[in-house]
Amino acid sequence: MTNPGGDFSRQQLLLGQTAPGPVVDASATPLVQFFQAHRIEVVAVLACVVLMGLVFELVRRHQIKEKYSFLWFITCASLLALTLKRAWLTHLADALGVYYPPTALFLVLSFFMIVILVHFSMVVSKLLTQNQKLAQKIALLEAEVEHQKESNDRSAA
Amino acid sequence: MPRNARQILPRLTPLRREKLTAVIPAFEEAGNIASVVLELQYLSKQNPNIDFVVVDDGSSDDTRKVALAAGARVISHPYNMGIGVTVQTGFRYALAHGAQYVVQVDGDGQHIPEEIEKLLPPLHAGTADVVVGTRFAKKGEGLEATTWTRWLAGRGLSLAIQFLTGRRISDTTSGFRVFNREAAEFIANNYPDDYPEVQVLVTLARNGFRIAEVPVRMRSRVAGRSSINWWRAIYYVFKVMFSSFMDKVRR
Repeated sequence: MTNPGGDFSRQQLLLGQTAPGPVVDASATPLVQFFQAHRIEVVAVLACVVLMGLVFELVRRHQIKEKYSFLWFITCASLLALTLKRAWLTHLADALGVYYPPTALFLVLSFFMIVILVHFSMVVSKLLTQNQKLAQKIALLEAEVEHQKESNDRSAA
Repeated sequence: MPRNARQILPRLTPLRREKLTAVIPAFEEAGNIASVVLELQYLSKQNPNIDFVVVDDGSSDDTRKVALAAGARVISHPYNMGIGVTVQTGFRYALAHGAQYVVQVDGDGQHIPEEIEKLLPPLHAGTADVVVGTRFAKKGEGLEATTWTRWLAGRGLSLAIQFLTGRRISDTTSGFRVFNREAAEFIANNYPDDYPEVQVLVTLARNGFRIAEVPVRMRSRVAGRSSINWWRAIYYVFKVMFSSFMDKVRR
């Protein structure tokens, strides 16, 4: 403990409390400075808003069914909330034992991605079953129609 | 009884009056299907209680045309859906048309329709619900009709089946089998999608259906290639294991 100050600052850094932020250009305008200081938030918010807009637009054009858009909206809303409310993200990171809060954001994102993918597997399996049943029915009906036609022809002749 | 009673009586006397429908699943079998159809036609001329239907699983070759030209009733899937769904389609057709017994005869010509007769006694006697015509049951009989990789896979699956159902079936991959109406109805509603031959035995056994096996003659393929290769064989075994396990967990 020859240098308690140094040890202290190292601990602070590990906890992510005094981690140096992105480099900010002191000569730039305050707006540019804000963007420089909050790069990660700005990118995250932009991504969420763009994704939400895309899903919304696709639902509007009937290219995504409403019920399949909900999971996407929930994903975007959660990420947006965690990005804008830094305190919530920090709480979550603490609860998960993640030292650098933005990492928790990726964790949340991966979680939702997996949920969405499993959901898709379920949908695909259901569609496959329905599709097979339908094709089977068509094949049987077709055979039945041919059968009927033949017996009609025979009785006509 | 006159000495030539065998020729006077219909060949399949044990069939009595109950209708038997042969379901012939066929995928890309233009080269084999005609002879299978002709053989079954011969059989159904001798015994009017037998009829048959070809289920074409969306073949891109002339399977449908050839089968129709040979005089078969053909059901055609709009696209390929696999052997499991194909057999199921045939079963549904057979049951809707009042079949008491349903037999699966593969469209590649490996199964000999005349041998159906040998499969029936356990069903008539009421000692089994499903009878599998097997290649291996008797030493030296029909063994030439297999390749050694198939044989090896067959032995493995045989052991697996014995483990899962407590029953010994020597040729679990044989598609040549007769079902009574109850078993056929069960199958028509619960048939596995892909690689169903083994799976269906497990499912049936687990649901209390009695399975028997009878040795029969089989041929090797005349035209075309078997759908079994190494990768598929490995997938096959895994799929069967996994599906059987899931089956166990469900109930």
